[in-house]
Amino acid sequence: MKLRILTRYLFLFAIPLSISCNSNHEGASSSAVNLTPKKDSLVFTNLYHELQDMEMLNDPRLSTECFASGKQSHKLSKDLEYSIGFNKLFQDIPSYQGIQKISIGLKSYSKNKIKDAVLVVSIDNAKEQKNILWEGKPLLFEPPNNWNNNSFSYDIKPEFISPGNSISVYVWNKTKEEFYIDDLVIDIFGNTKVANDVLVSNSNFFFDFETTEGIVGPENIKATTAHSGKQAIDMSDGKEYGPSIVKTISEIATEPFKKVSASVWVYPTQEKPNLVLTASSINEQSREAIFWEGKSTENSIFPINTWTKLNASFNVPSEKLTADNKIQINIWNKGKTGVIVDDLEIVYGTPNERKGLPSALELNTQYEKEFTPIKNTPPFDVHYLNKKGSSNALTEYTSKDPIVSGNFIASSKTDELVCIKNKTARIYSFNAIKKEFEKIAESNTNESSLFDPVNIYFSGDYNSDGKQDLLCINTTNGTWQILNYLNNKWQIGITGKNSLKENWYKQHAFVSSGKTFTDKDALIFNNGKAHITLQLINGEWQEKMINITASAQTVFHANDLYYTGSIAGSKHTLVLNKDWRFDLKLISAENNDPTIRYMIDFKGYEADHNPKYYEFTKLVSGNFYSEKDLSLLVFSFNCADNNFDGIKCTSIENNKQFPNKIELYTFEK
Amino acid sequence: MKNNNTYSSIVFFLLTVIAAGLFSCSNGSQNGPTLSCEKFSLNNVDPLSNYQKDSLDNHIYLDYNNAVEGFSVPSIAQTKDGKFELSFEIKNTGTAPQKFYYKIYYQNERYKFPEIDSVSKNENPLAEENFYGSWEETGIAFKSTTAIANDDEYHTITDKFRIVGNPRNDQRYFSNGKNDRWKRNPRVGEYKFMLVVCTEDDLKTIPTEVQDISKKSKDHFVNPYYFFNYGKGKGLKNTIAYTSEKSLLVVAKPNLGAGIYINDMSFNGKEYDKSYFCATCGQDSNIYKNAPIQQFINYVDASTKMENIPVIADILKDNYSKTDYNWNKSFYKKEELIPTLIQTAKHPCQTVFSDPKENKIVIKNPGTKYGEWKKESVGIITRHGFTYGKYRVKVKLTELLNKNGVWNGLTNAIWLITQGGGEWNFRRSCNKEGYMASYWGGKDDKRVAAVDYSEIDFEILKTPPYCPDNEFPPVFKNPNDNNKNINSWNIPMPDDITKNDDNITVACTNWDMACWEPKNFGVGCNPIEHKGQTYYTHRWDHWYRAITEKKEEKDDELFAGEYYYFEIDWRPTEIIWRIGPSPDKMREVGYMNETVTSIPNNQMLLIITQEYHNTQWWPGAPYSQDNLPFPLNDIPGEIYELVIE
Repeated sequence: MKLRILTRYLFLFAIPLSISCNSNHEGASSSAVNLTPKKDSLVFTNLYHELQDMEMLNDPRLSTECFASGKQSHKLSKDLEYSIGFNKLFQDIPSYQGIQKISIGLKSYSKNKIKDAVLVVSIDNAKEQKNILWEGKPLLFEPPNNWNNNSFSYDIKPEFISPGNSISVYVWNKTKEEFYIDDLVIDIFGNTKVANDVLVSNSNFFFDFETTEGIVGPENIKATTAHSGKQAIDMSDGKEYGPSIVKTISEIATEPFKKVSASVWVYPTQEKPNLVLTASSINEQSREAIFWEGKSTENSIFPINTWTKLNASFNVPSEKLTADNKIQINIWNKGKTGVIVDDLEIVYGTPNERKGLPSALELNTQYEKEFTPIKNTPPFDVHYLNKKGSSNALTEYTSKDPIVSGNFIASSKTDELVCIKNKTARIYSFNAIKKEFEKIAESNTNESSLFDPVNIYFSGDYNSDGKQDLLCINTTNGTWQILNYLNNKWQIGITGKNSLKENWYKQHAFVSSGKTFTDKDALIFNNGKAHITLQLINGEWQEKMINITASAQTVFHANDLYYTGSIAGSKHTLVLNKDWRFDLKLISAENNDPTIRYMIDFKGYEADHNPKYYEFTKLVSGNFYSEKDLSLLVFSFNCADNNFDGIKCTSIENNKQFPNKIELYTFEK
Repeated sequence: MKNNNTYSSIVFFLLTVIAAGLFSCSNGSQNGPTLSCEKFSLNNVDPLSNYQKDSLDNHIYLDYNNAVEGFSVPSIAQTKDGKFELSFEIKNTGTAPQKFYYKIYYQNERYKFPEIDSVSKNENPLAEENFYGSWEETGIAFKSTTAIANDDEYHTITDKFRIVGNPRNDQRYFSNGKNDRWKRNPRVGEYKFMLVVCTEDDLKTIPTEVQDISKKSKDHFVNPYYFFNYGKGKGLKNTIAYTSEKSLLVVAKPNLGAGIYINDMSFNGKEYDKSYFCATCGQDSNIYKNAPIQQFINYVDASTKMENIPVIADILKDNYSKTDYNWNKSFYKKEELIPTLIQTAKHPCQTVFSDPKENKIVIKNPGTKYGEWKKESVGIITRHGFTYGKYRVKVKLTELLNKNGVWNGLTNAIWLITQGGGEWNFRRSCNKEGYMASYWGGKDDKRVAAVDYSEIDFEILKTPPYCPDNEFPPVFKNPNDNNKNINSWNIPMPDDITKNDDNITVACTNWDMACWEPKNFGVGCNPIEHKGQTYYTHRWDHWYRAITEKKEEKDDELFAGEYYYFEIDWRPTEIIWRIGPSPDKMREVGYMNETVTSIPNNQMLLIITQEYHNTQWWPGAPYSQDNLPFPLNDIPGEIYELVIE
């Protein structure tokens, strides 16, 4: 059956209003996807926010006598010279290196005139107990018997910023008078890097010494008792220095990191081994050590003729290093006793910082007040698609294969699938009783030219004749045809006079079809700034561009895929973006205003085989399960290609841990 | 001549004791031996003549009814007038009628320091800490009998006494002129009773501080058990100090169905929601007077702010996997995270329940929802403090791991904490540089001679052992957030972790406030032997206020069954942690003694919690609290029994 379209969707050119097909892009170029690392971009933003509303429990310095918010405030009196305040090491503030400014808000209250109460901002070197910056500004107490707003702002000079320095904010009640303060707000602003990795592709290394590749000084590697394989480092006969692993920091990361972890298996052949796993770096010019750290077996139990693991974690003084410095991991047989060493594992740095900007959510929002979501701003609530069955009949298809859905057979109320492989198109429909797709038709050999592998396919009522069309585009030359399934045969309805422009059919996210102003189905893609539509008018495809409004730019992104249908009686659109993660959202567009309603996740799958974890996932939406509610046929596959780009996969991989699968999900519980 | 007389007296005394002992052994109705000195003989000394009918049953349970101001042993419900009756027979063997003087002392024998220093043979200075007492009116020193005829007959003397808190009426425990006996409650465990009878002449030689135990000598109390058994009192000719063979085992076994009290102080005195108050939880006078338990509100450290993933799930039931964990770790952006602090109850009685039918307590970490996003710790605390004791709880706390070995982020904790109070509850002074002044400060915190902070913990969670040193820290690979390669972000945990996938760690900790006095005070991993087992203590640095031992145990064994027992055996010179399926099958999982850590001697309370920790407190923990979901459903724990003995 055809999807019923609400006119209120018409503004949304890019929102598909009929069923889409989205993965028939084997021939497409990947030029639209920029997978090369981008240079880090800096954004000036709020790096840290803290509200001290003085509502915390168990502090005798707090008072319920009066308050600006909540039920208590902080009372200073003759017995209390310094207030509760804010104190943090720079290293504990996200992106502290970029700090530029601190803003402080505070409310103060007194019945009397207060002479000498000041708000202090202090930066200290905690280790040396040395003050670096001290600023005090008087608090406002006029008019009396009133909560007065104080706001201060200070620039933080780069020379003040060191990971071990601390920044404090507090009130100094110099003359020990009685007054109250409340709602201390700290905002720290500065630059932060956005989105791009500090670490490059791999920071994890494992050396089993079966080969000497990447190893400096491999002389002691030989066939011997080994923890794995046949070879290990044999340091018997008083051999003191084992092989080293030397890596330039820039091989691993874009900037120096703070930690190196390593482990090695040790097999002493003599008592009391003293084997040291070391990490070091030297100044290449002066040959002086920049740092050296080691961990020895000496104080632990390493029984003779037994494999025992030595784990180590080394602090790296990143502030003394540049990306050009080398980090050397070495095995030092300090005790010169007989010892065999194998399976060295090294992890450089710590996990990448998460992408994105700090959360705008105020810490106490959810505890003190009722949470009010901000439109199109995370966090979003989660809605689940529930698994309704697997599809054994479709096992010959993968995410690579062209599969489209639509109501091609007039007598049917639900949608069918058209699956194309080996120049054959098969039509499947869902048997609600058996909960399984069943093949109901298959193209014959004289139709094979219509289903050539160079083609890509879309479905929709492009010519507005009330029937579902199968649009077939040849990706080698842009020629196109519209096919209809009539009388148990595929028949050519329209053959394009002019070829499509290359930038259209090479567009990998050119996936969707939907209604336009003229109430016809159109092809749509999102280029990040606008929704581009292609509509068949008088036998020609005409292009229109609809700019994405600023407010909608948080909803729609380049490369989005759209799936639209009725969910629980209301029209909604599912938007999928797979650039960085599988990110499926449910959008509503009441009053022409696109709004993210939910993040969509899956339930009911086997083990932990959530479709969103797969490398090569393909969704086909349709009213397969019921004519009322949208369901999704989900192709979850992994790709064996070394440089899989998420679009074109040469070799499908059936990972034992995550077996490939095809499942049907619906919003029904 | 004098020496000869003394010698013959001793011989006579010993022979009499031996003969009486033999007689005593042959006559079950006799209470102890006949004891004699020159001027009198004693017989049938019975300190508990109105209580123990059966010598095998020497238990008495502390009566928690109306015990907020302190325990009395016995209570008014346990004997006719809330007192033990002392009786003994005395025969005047002198040449004329005379009065005799007597005093009953009691001392807790299970949790005491030996009265005599084994090296110097002088009084052990720590013996003054022992819990001993006498008549609660300490001004009544020795009582006098009426004049007893030298008629070769035994005359029965009876008196009464009870065991109460602060039996020395030590001013340290007074507040505004009131003796707050609850600040030094009677210890649990075995008590022995020493009757001292003397002649008037001998009485004059007994020091005032022995006669009146509230008095001090050179600013110290004198333990009468030392004086009469090892000190000068032992040589008094006409003084008999007899420690009865009858003993009394005091046991605390609070009725967990007797209600949960809500203390306004837990909420800092400010207004809070009382809508969940009910007959068994709240503040009514019955609960105030009789409930042994109070809702516990964890201290929330504002510095433990986390940016939590925006996921709400039931880790235990939802088949939450390591892959889920890894995906969530790699594929949420900062702006999607939920800034959060660990929460505590805002609605007292909402998450703790006292069940009077089954005499149990149920606690629940509440489930949460979108927009609320809370990880709320829950727990209960006892209301009556003790010094020392073997605390054994029968509990069914939440399972911590699901079938995939994923942790739910909770720490099941059974722990003792100082009853607070400041000076009255100070620990014994630390004589080597003092204690760190606060339990939360850093290494630059000042040191002080004494503090009231103490804590002894069972903390059970998913975290690796710190010892032996070569195994720590585990080496975790870094994930790479490439969704086009499942193996780049779905990184397996190190074998060190996965080989113990179904294990949780039982961490046993003593907060000694970094007192450097123990002779083997150590940093890093150090072995300590006990009963054939080697434990490794771990302390991060010289200023670290706590010392921990860890042992890995099966989560299923401890928390998937109907119940399990956990025991903290806190003794004056050692602490032993045990767990087991039944009281007779307890096994040691932790051991420390005074050579490695300062054992607290102040009064503490017991807490049982299911609490969320910031995993920054537990280096090497495989699951990071901020990357674990908020709980979808309530997470219950049940507490069936608490015995302190």
